[in-house]
Amino acid sequence: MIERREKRRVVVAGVLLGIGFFMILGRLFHLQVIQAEDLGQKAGRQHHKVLTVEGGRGTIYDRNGKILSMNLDVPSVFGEPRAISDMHSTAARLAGVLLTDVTQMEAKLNNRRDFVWLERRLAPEQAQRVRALSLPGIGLVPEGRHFYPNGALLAHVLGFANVDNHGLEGLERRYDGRLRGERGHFVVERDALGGAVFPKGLNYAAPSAGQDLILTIDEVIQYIAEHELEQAVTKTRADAGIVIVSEPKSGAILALAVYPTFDPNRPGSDANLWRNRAIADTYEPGSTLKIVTAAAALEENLFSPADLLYGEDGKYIVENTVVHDHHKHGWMTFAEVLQKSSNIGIIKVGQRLGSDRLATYLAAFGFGQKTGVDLEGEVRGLLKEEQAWGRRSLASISMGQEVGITALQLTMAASAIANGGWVMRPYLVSEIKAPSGQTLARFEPSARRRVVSSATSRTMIDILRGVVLPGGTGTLAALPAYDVAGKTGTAQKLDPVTRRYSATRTVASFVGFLPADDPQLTILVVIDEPKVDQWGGTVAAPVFQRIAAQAVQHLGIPPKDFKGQVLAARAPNASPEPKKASWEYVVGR
Amino acid sequence: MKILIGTLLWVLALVAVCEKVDVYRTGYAIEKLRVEKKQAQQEQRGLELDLARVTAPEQIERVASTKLGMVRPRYDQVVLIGPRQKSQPPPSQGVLPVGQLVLR
Repeated sequence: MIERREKRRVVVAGVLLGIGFFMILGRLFHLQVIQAEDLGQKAGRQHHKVLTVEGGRGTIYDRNGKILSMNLDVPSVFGEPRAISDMHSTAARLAGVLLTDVTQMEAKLNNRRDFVWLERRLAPEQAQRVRALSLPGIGLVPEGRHFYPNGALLAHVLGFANVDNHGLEGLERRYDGRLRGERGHFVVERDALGGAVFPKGLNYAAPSAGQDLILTIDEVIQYIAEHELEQAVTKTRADAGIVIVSEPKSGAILALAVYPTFDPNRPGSDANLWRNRAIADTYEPGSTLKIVTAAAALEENLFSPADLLYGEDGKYIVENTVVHDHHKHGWMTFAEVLQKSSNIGIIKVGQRLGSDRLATYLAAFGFGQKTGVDLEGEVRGLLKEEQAWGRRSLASISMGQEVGITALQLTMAASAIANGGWVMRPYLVSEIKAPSGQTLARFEPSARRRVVSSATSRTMIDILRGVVLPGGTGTLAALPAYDVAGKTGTAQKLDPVTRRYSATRTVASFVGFLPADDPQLTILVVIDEPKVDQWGGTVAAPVFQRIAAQAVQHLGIPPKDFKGQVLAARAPNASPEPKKASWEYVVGR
Repeated sequence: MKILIGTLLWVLALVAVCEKVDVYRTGYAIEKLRVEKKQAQQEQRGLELDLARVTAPEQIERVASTKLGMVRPRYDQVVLIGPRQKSQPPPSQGVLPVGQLVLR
């Protein structure tokens, strides 16, 4: 009886144990087979942590290796709302440190998401104060921020990048794909405290830093140009101004200054200030365009410099419209037409040239087309097809009216006169380098076409020398010890109300190059609507002179009577490593 | 025999654990060095940025004119003289080296 009872107990215990065993087995099967994938991912998330690393934006250097823009990691503060117990207190303490509104901070924290940005790219001292608070659920993470150490210098060329590392303007936009590094990530195992432990064999994708740009810009000449431009615009109470300094033989741009300007570190929201007027705005050039009419006439052998033209005593009727000269002229040579900037003289040159040939030369010099400079936002300008020209168009266009050009187009056209007749493609980036220093791309000077012969070029240079000599309109551009060639321009602006040329609103300009016998610099100065004075010869020419004087000293360009020998010239595509200047300043006596 | 096998298994387990501990210790060391390297690189970049700021032409002009009392030379105050010949001795103090722009 007892044995039977014991056996029953053993069976019951065995059955219970069996049931338990099968229940555990079933649970194991459920966990290990049915839910294996889902649970495996959960476990992975708990043990592994994916760290994202920003590649960092590339650096931009000037031609001598000076840093113009640079990326630096700065801390950004974030919140994990689920980990914060007292929202109001946290928001109040953070707002005190970040100098923001408590209500706004609390609104940011009252979020269903796991992660919210509270303030991005803090100043180091702010980050230190946030760290000192040691608030639960609040953390700091490094993010790249772009800095422009020269402030507003070269702002319109450099442009700027936004907080998400996207280039928005200028070279930052044009070369965004090159400058922007690629994000990398790696998976690490987390320890019990959530710290990272480097594992072996886990996924790793290295971040790639952005590529570096080496510009043709010379930081010192850029500063000189901006400084002189600002002084001139302020002094003449002008609306705006542009200065371009370039190498006529290569098309490399040494300086491109636009005023008013902005600081790319704090670009603000006024998009009007960001516009690069040198390539995006068109204006009627006035007399500076006479160099194209004259060069075309010489190239077509229609005139020689000594040929005489009659100035009609300052009054000439063209298609029922009276054209005046600023001064009355009688007989004058072809060269004097440019030296005195005679409208009547150049109209007669244009009339002999004819509209078809003038239109052809204007297009050949690059007007009505983009120059191809490596910047976004360049416009073609306004040059009507010859078939659309009106009865007065030939006369007007000959002297620089009825045509809209960009400052850069005129700089390249003047450079073609200076360099023997070649229209060059202007460029700002000479080299692109990998972060390792390896050269990835190099940009060489490139000629678009030849427009006039070297003989015409030499003749034009001789004629334009006369413009800055006594009797010319550009004497204030003259530089002692250097031969300067150039042309003044005073273009009346169209009055939008009367639709007539205004007598008081002008664009004063001067374009020139030096040394005249071997031009190494082309400089264009454009002052928009000066109020104190209005003439190119008195407003823009002195600015040219001051910029040229400092630029030749900086570059070590010897004067004409210099008997010594230049030891080394600065190469247009210099490496970022600073090169020793051929000439130095020594202060003494 | 059983004791021998047991000991062997125990030693193998100990070696495996030691190896794993060593991997983690090295992992921590690598991570620490990575952070240090990153900090040093950031510091270097920060110094480069500071250098660019203090050598900006505007900053140099500001310091030269406000702290050192310097002025921009007039154009006619600058004279260019010829380059130094190889045969000439190197310039000593007080002697202006040939081939330099001189302000007077």
